[in-house]
Amino acid sequence: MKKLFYLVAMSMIFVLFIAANRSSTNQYGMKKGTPGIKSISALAFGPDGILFIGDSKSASVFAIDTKDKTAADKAANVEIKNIDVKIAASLGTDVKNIRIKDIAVNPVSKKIYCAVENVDGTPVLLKLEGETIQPVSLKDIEFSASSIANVPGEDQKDNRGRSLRESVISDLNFADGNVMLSGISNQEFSSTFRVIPFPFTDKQQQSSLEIYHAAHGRYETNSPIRTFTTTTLNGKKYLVASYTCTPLVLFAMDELQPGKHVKGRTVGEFGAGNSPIDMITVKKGDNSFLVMANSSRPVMRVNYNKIAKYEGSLTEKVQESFSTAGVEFVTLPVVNVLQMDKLDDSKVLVLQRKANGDLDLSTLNDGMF
Amino acid sequence: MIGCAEKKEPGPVSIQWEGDKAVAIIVPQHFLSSVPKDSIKELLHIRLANAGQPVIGDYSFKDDDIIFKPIIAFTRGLKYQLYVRNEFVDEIEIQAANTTAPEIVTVYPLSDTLPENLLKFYILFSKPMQEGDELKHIHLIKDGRDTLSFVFLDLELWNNERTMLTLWLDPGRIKRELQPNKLLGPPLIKGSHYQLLIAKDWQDAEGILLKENRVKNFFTSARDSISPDEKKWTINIPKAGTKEQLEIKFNEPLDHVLAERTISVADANGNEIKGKLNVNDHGDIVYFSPDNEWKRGGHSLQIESRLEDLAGNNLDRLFDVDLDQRHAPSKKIHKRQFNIS
Repeated sequence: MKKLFYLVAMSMIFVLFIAANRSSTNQYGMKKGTPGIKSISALAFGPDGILFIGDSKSASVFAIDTKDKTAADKAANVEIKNIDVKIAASLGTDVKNIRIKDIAVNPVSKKIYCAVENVDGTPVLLKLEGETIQPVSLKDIEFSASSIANVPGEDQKDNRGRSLRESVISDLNFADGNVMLSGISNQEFSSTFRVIPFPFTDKQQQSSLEIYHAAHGRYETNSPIRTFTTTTLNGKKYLVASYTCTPLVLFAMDELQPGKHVKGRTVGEFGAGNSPIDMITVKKGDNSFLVMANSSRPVMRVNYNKIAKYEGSLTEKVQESFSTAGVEFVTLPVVNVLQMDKLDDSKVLVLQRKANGDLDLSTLNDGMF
Repeated sequence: MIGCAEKKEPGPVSIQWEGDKAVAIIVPQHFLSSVPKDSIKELLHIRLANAGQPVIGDYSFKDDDIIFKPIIAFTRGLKYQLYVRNEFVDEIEIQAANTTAPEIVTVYPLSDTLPENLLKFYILFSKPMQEGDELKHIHLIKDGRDTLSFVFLDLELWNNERTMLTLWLDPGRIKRELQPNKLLGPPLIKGSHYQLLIAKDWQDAEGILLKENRVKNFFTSARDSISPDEKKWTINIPKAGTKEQLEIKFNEPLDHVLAERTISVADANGNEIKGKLNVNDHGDIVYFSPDNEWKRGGHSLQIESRLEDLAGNNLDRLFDVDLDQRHAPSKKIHKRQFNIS
């Protein structure tokens, strides 16, 4: 009996010990501190107001708890003229000294977050409350981080003091419990794509993928992905990626396994002299659409149903001509969009360079996309 | 001396510097004598001269002074105004930076004859540069007449220090049979003279313009469709017991930046030998100087397969892989054995 009492007591102490330890981290394994973010290359929201920050300079992905969790079903229309001038004034500098690096909408609160970089490289995270620009503190916050400096298994000896491989995070997304990011190397022409389960753990299962874009079935190149999203087509999950120089490519998510050489299937080539900038998925009635902003072409819309049907028709014979045919897309009367995100189910937020040279943040309502 | 606690003269607004950055403005308390301490955040504002809205930042107190620290350092050369209860109180100018103009150190590849399927240039600057719209400052002129459009990829790729820009020629135009290639043709054509012009209207991170324009003249030769092959390199082997340079001749220029970072030397056990590795300006010779004397025995060059030639062909694959042709399986590290005696 005495032994049983002892065991019960020990168990209780153990439970208390666990509880005490848990109090220092939240359910996502985040701890309070200062993350030391050196640059903000890309933003994406995860669950419960958690914001993922892709930091190219420190080769890390940070998850920060914005505590911005008050749900809003609908977003108000946003119309901020000369947003860059207003941000620059709030930061106390000239507009030529800042760059808006990315914009993300918190899907819970529908609030807009904006990554800005000063000319000296200082990163700043801002939140918009109507027209009011507020700083988001990156000090003494709950956060966790995952390094992307080295791909597991890759030999990264650096004992000569050479700089490690540098790459720029070109896009970042969160889906199905994973942070996904694409990287562009500033040295070799190649693609890196990683899937990092969230919450981040010590034993990361990062995936290093070689993604090939097969054009016309004959030549293939390990091209860098510029922007991507995920979708479900015919009950199967896909990565939808677009490239620096070319087209729209699909990859089956279940094929994206660590170290595996994965070939994508090109479903459309959307024009020369152009690079995709951002892509999002929107719903209109029962249909969902891919909406893609471009560097020198208007915003494009593609019906996912048409992409799904396209898959069904891909026989070898069709493959001969599909590269020129491609999936049907609609160009929208919206040009010079530099950043884009979904504001809510019926609204798209765009950062747009207007014909008069102004940079405006505005809303595309249902009828416009 | 002890009784020296006389009342301080009311001081002016001053600037707190950290290195060459103006990180805070110090406002003496007498500017705010009418403001309760707990209302200072609401009633004291710093504005950029002629701007409508206050600068956002943190307020703190030190002795009788209020320290305002903006999120980013104040910009040198700009004026800032102090407002209390929305009334103008004072103005302060942040002294402009007294630094030299940035220059272009070099443009790789250095050769004046380049393959028509050249993939990239590296532009090295003497100081960190301003990011954004780099293609506004870079022009490619063909045969002294035509300024070419859509030849570069509109993607800025800087190193972390922002002193090296990787400038890609549009890979979509180089890759055979892709739409951009079919519609616009390749960016460079064999047998032509080109000028890569980097205009001096480019600011560095402190807002100072480039000292002068830079022009790189080059002529285009035939397409390079052969991967670099380490087995064909010429190695001049040093003697054991010396610190002589190991010389590796590629017999063609390779990507300068990758050559510096992807080649190392190992002993018979595969352990990396410490030393310094230099690539010559033309990118066709690498010199390795060991920190310690060479030891007798087997050695190897260890080359990461991602080392590319000027056309983006790496050790494992061509930039354009023709699927109709069989190619060897990829390996991460290529090894070339040599013996030191």
